[in-house]
Amino acid sequence: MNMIETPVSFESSGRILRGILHLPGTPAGAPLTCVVFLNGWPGSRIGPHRMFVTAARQLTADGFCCLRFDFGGRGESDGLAAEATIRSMVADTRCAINSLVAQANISRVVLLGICSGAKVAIAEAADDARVQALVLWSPEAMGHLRSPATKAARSASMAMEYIHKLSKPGTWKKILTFDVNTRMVQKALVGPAEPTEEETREESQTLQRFGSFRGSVILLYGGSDGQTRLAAANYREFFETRRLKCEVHEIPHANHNFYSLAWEKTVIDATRKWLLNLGNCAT
Amino acid sequence: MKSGPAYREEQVIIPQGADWLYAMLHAPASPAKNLVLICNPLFEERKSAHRVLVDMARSLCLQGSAVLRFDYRGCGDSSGSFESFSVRDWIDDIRAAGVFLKSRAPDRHIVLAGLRLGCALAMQAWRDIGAERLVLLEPILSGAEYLDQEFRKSLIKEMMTSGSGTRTGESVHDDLLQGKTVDFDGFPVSPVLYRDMAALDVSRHEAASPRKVLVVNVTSLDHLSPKLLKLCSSLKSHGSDVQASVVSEPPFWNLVDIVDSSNLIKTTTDWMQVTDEHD
Repeated sequence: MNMIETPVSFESSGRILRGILHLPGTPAGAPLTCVVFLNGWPGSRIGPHRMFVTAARQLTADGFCCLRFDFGGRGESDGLAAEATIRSMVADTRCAINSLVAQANISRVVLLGICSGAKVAIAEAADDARVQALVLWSPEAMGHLRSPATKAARSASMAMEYIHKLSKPGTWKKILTFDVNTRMVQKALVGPAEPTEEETREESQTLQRFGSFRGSVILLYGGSDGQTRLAAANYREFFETRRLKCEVHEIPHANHNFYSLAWEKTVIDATRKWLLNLGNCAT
Repeated sequence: MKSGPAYREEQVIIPQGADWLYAMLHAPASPAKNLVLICNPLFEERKSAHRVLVDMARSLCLQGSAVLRFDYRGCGDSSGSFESFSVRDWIDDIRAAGVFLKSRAPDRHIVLAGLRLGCALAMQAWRDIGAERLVLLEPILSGAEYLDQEFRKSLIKEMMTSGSGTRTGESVHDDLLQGKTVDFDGFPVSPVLYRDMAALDVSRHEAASPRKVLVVNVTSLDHLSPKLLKLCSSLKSHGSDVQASVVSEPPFWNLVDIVDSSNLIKTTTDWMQVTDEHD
């Protein structure tokens, strides 16, 4: 299949956003399922360890169209970093879909989000009927799914995990002999800051609207990712209560951003298989 | 492409043999005073440093420089997979990017700027692309030390998430000797890449040096590290006019958060302005 990768740009709220469009080598005008990649809070369209690039190229070889773009204030897009919010990212996603639909014969839109990008995916799907499926990698909890008990459990769970690991003499000996800031490593594993009360309220309202979503969802998370393990349990309950079509998969031992070739492969393979089974991709 | 009163930005694809490089050109509205080619760091540092380098490119552009940022083959948005390429390929990529940039303003000279391992690559390529000035931001001086440090960080991450390390330095070396690719936190490192990267040693640079060099140490200390002092001394002994600066900022190339690197950007743009005036 003769695939094409093209730099693209489009406007959102007066800013230029930039990305890469991956097109499969299907006949011109053939209907396409497009996967739109949504990165985590501080990230860019490349994804952790270039995972979005790898996934997009493999999905394009499978016959999907893929769009990776930088939110405003991120990567190469216009806008100030400090001004980006989940709300602005949702607006950017809407504009990305609009741009796609104007360029190609898109029969189905799939949103693939990692970490806070998963929240953006859910928020857009709640209000955009063009979104028919969601792929959520290491999704952050949102709204009432992040209850005080969950937050406390998460904090306690993570603290116990780290205390347990750090209490092993061998661990400390190895850490202390290295010139490495372990706080930075931990922060890299923990993720972004807590949302405000207003943001939490807004997220709960979004979840309420999302309850009407009738597309399909797959959620993948790492078994060693304490915060997302709890979030995944809450999401599973949320989906099951509302009878939403959802699969939830734990990748054993994996961390938040799937930092290994094996974990990356497992996540991408599971995603590809799930998307191909959804049908309606142009191959 | 964005157009406006101050500058325009253009996403470009640069053919490179059977592959291609993704790049972004930041061009000032008026004729460029000079050309700046930015050499990225590697591994996950590329992701963490990305926005800082975009902001730096925009700041330099506002000052009159045409700036090209690009991804090496196997990295970022360029073609190919990481394990298929090595140091020599990436030095070739710098040359190709330099040729492209020079074609946009043949009568302007090139300033080569690198961050972290990008500095070591830039030091190998500056002469071939005729760079007259060099910007070295937190340069990695020894590829072997860098690989050792990256592996230790990976081991710590593994211990903090799983409670134990399944790999050791010895097992990694054994795998490489057997011709196997090793996993550096999701980046496949081939034996060829490991060997070539371990051989990078900025202290063994050529006798000639660019006319003007800026060396920046990003640190919480108030003085240049001994290794960078030695580098500056060596560059001066080879005839370079060297400015060494210490910038107190977090090591953004290692962080997940959005970081304010305005001090680093100002240090760089100020030096560019001063050295422009004296050219």
